[in-house]
Amino acid sequence: MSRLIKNEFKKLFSRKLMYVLFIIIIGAAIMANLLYNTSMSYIQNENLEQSLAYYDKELKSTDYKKEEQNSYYINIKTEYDLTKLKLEYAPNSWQNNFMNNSDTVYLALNEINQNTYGLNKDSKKLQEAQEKFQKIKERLDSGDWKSFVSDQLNTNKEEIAFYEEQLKSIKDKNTVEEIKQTIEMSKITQQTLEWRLEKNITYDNSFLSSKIEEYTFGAQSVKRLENKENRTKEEEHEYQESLKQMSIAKYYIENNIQIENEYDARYVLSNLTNEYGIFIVIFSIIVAGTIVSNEFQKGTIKLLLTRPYSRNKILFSKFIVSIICIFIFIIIFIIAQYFIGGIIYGFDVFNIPEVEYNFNTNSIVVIPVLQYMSIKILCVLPMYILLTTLAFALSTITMNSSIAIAIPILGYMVSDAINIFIDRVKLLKYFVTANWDLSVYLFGGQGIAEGLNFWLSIAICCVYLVIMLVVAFIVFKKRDIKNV
Amino acid sequence: METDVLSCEGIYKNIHRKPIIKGISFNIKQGEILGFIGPNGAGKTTTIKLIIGLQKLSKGTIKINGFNVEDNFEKAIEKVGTIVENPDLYMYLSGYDNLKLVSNLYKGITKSRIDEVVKLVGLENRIKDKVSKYSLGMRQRLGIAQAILHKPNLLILDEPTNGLDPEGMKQVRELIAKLAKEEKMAVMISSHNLAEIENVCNKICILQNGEIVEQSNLEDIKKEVSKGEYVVEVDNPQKVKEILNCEIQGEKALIKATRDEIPEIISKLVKNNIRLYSVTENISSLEEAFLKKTGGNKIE
Repeated sequence: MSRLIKNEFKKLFSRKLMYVLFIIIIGAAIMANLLYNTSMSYIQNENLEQSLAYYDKELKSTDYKKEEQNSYYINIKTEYDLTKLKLEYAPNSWQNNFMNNSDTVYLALNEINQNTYGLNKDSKKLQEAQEKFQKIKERLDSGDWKSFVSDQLNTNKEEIAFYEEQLKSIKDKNTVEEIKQTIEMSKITQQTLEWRLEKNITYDNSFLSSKIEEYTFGAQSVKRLENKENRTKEEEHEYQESLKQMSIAKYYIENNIQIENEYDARYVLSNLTNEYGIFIVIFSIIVAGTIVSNEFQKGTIKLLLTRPYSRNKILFSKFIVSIICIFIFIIIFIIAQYFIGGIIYGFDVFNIPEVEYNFNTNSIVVIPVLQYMSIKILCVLPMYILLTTLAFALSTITMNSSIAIAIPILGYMVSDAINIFIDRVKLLKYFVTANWDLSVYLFGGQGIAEGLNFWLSIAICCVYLVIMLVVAFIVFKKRDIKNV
Repeated sequence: METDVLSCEGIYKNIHRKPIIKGISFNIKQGEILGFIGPNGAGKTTTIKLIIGLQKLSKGTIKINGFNVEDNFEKAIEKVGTIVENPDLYMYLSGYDNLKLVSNLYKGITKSRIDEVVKLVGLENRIKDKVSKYSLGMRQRLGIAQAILHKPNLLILDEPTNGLDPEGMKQVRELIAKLAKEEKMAVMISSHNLAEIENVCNKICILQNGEIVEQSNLEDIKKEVSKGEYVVEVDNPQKVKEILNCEIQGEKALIKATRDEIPEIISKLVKNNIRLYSVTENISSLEEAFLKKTGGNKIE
């Protein structure tokens, strides 16, 4: 057996095809890393200029002296001024993000415009407003972002106090609920503002700043759904996802973990099968789909079959080689990603662990990158093995490489589409596509359909594997080698 | 003591219910070279595929070195070397790598054995080249090298001279004769052309429509086809007729005589001042005998 396997490898690695595949791997790794490296900041700047031109056009076609157009004019003028101000600062600067996040600057500009063009303009108020804006501008220019946060925090606290006061006097049940909800939301904002001060997180595009936004979205969604009775399936899913998003963001903020670029080489390595899965699948299918049929097409199968080895041994050695090839491709991708990503982003990025949320224990799980990557790869391994086995079986049964390659690749492409119909066709949950990706069960996750669990999925995959192999081995053993 | 290296007993093969091989039996002993002759479609290649396990028997038994091919394939095939149809070669590998692959499948084939075989088939200068660059004759020779690498005692070659030019055919024939002699192999060669291999074979099996129509030693066939006639080429055949009272065919005279009488006849003619150019035995060729037996090249 080992002699047969050794020979299969020798044949495989003498083919030019393999070297083409290795070059594709390196190319894909470089592309994937560079793609995530390109900054999006310039796009933002372009958008601002486009908006500016639009507001300008609108202003020219509007007359603020006409009563019915006055308020619209003021609104547009304020937006115009704000956009112009944003352009003064670098794209993605804290000033820009702050202006997007808070209405402080907008209100100040609006007051100026109200008193310049408004129907009830007042020169005294205008002066006051201008002075106020001037102060804000000075603070923006000086880089004193913390003072803005403190301002916001104070306003927020006042708001909460105001609503709590209101609660005491209102009896209507619905209104009470509404106000309670508002208070909860404000408290979330208060939490994030306190974090900004405490952890020194500016309004820039940094990782932690984005985590604060994620926390806000997640926490708001959780609060909204938490007390709701009879959550629908979609709502339940949203609740779980939000809980996860919120908890993970909170972990990063509280532990002050700074990641320069979230979607860097580390992300690609951790989620290796997301980025390179299609390559691994196609390459493995190409190998398995040609390993038997090529020998039939070239007639070299006769050379193998007239040697002192049973047909079962010959076929089994080819199957083993096909499966080992999956691992070879995965390992090469890991190495390529590690080194190419490491060279582009620095190898330090791989030291930051991955953070996941476990739904079973409702707690945060911290996993080193390589371990996280390995778990994820193990989870999709059933899919890879089954697709490769399908290609191998088709290659053996049809002796036609094209069919043996095309059908499994097609199956891989449409597997997600098939899974959509699970809700309508109940029996589909026993189909292989619903079970071959075990990553849904990770960290306390649920199966694609009701009634599925981790061990059942593995059992279903095994049944499919055995059926395909048994058919392939019987056909191969019984086959008469026809005269060419 | 001579044992059967290969023995086939009453083998049948049906393909899609159509009988292709209809109960043939034959055997090969050590040192014998069997010519397996038949027109295209007679079932030569199918018989060979049955012997080496590429197709399953419908009925009958095949034993190689005493092992049944169906029940004990791995033992039976161990000391067999074959080329079926075309030499099975990996075109993208070098000749040497092709041999290396074969050597990996057996225990104890050393590097020096590979070199020895390469030398035997005369490929030492081109063995490192890719097979895709080889000529047909070179591929045929590499195929033979592949077949004999593990020192088989039975060599089965299916149409080894197919597609070769006369020079290539001659080389292959010589190689087979050399192998049978030096490596003491039993050899089975199939061909649709008797003339091509009659010089190397010492046993002939004629197959037609899945049945053996003639099976005998080459010597016996040769005796059978001898007619006891001699052709004498002279300047004046008419005069020969007067002296010996024989038939005339154009410029030649046909003499009925035994081999022992020939020297006397020659001296008689010389004494009569007849200019004698040549005397040859008039035998029908094996080809003719073969055609007579098989009744032409008809395929059912």
